[in-house]
Amino acid sequence: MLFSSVVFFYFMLLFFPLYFLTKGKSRLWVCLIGSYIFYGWWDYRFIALILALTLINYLCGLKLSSSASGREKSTYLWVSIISSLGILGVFKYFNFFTENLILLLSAFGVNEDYTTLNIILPVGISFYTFQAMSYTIDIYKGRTPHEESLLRFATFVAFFPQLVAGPIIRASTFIPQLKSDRVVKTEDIINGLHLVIWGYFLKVAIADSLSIVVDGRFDNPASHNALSMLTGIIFYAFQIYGDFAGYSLIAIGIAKMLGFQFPQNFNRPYFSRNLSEFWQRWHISLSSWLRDYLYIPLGGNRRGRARTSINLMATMLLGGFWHGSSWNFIIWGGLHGTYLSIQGKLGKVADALPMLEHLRSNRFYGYAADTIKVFFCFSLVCIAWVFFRAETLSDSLAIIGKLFYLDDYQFSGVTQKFHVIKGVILIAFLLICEGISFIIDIDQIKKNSPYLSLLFSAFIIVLISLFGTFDSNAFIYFQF
Amino acid sequence: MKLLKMLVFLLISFIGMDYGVGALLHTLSTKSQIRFSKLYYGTNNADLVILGNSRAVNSFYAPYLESTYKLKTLNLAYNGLSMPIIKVLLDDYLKSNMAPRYVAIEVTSLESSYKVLPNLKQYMIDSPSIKGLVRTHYPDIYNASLLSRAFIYNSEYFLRTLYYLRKSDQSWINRYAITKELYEQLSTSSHKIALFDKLDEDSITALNEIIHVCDAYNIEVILILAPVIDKVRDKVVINNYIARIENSTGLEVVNLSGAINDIDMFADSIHTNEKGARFLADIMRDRGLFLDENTSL
Repeated sequence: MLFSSVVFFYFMLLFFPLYFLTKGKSRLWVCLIGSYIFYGWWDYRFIALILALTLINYLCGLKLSSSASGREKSTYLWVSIISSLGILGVFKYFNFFTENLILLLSAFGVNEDYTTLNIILPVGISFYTFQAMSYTIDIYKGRTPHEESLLRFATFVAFFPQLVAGPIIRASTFIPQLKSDRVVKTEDIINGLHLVIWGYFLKVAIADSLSIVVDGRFDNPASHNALSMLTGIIFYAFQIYGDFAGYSLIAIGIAKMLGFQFPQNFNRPYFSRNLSEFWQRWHISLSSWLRDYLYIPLGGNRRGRARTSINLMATMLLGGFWHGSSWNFIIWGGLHGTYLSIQGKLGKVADALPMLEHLRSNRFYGYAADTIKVFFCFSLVCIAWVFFRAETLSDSLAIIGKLFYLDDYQFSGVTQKFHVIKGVILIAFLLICEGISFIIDIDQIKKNSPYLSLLFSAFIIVLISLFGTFDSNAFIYFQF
Repeated sequence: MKLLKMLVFLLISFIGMDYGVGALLHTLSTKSQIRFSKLYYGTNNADLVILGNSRAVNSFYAPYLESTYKLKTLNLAYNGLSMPIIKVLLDDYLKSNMAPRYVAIEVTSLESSYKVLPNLKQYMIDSPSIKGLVRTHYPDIYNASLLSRAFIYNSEYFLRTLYYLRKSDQSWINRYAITKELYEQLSTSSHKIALFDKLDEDSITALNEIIHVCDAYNIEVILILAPVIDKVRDKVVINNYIARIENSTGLEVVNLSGAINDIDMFADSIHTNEKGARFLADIMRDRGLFLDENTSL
């Protein structure tokens, strides 16, 4: 069930009254059954998968907390991790590994016949697998207690607003909120509604409108000039942001309207001045997951520069692979790993220059330097997005190569000009709104002038109506 | 109670803003110089009206036709227009303008497609016929337009409407030439050119109705097949297509599909550019099209 579909609207019309009319366990049942209906709408067989994952991690959680010895605890932790990753591996990565193994063997002259499995990738599997896995790891590390109630734990795993595309919520954040009936205040509903409206704007008006330009360019890069491709790349950066941040906001907004507080998943990422900052602002729930469960256990930055670079690279490569079973995603992760490693070294060199210290005290220099840094960081992120979006590695390289043909930047050769103009207007509006939010405290305005906020949301609905693309495009991150 | 008050405020604010934005955009739409705004909100009284799809847009260059024939020319063709929609547009044109002397119809792709309709929904307010077509073929869009006035202006066509706010769109035409690479690819491409395969009963019926209406207004109808590039011409069977149209309508089709051989006069395989359109106008003049005994050039 897509957030942007009519059937979801009817689903919510049923769900909201049932949720607010029930209390205690009945309310949890409403949440759980509603979540399974929401998920099963794609394919009812997927429910079995989520049930299996829930049961395995629930039982491992119980055993972990009752085990006395460290060895026993480790065993149950590994059972949980291997089972969860096993499910993910079979459904998401089996064909990738098979194909690449055969390629490798054929390079050594061993030619084997093989068949790939015709596996449907369950929607959102990477999200709920990571969410469930973090629960047992946290119990093992003593960060969170185990959950006695299977009903509550199942609701934590399957809660529909964030089930298929995040944010990835930790057990320590969400399970305590499921232990008592949430008291929903008027402010929660209105603030949730603001988030939902802005989320729909990001998805329907920005992401889906930009996708018209992006798809045309990436599907057939050879027939577009350099300027056309550049618009396609920049638009894709904002398409994926609008798509994913939009979904997260709708999820967080719906949860807020039901009385749950979820952490922010995006924080104006394209205003980042360096790649570290970018990853603190982009898909925060995944980057913090990777930091806490991979980067830090690998040693983080505590074992010298070389090891830090290796850890960063390993984390980003796996982060890339998490997105999909393709070499393009691995290269995307590798690029970010490289950026982060180099950036660390460059930063240290810059800090050592006394001349820069003097310039930093100048306010104008500060603004100018920040602007250049934001532009530079955005450019690096865009180059990486090419690998993320292009169909093949050769397409990615051809697209990037095209950007260097300086005599190919002719405006007359830009296709879909009116869609490009519309895209530029929408991106400018988004950046202005986000820029203003650095200067003005939006939460304070929502609190002090609720009617002014409502006027703004009404205006956003008009913009959705005027600029939205209503073809029910699926969210990009569902495929992950 | 507070929640209800706030939700009602949100709803009223939306309705008010939506109405205001809708009214503003409607005003802009009425003032635009784009072809269908001129049709619905202007007085045209053209001598020559051109109808058809993108091939007509790029084959008939109104400013040059005007200077060549000394006939006030209005190109009402648009990308993706099909005969049933053309019929509605011509009916609407005749309601508020004097009948032209000639109606030229480019007759490629006679299939009843309505894909272009969402682009024309901004005229639903002033054209019951367009409104009826949208209601029939796009009920979701029709219903959404009842909920929001701003939504009526949610289209690429409306952006064009704004672009042509202060200048005429009659000089809108391809101005680039097909690249040599693309031209060479046409020989090897296995891509099927289905331009002259599509001919359905609804389109023929609409075309006959157009001819009937024109007869009633004493308008001369000229059916034309615009040029296609030589490598495409080699791949398609045009004569059967023309014969079917001629048999169905009883009118001769002026076959200009092979009138241009210079590839610099094409923007792509099936669309001429400005240079090609000017050349085509000269050919049509030499053939005596749009000329009668009273015309002196």
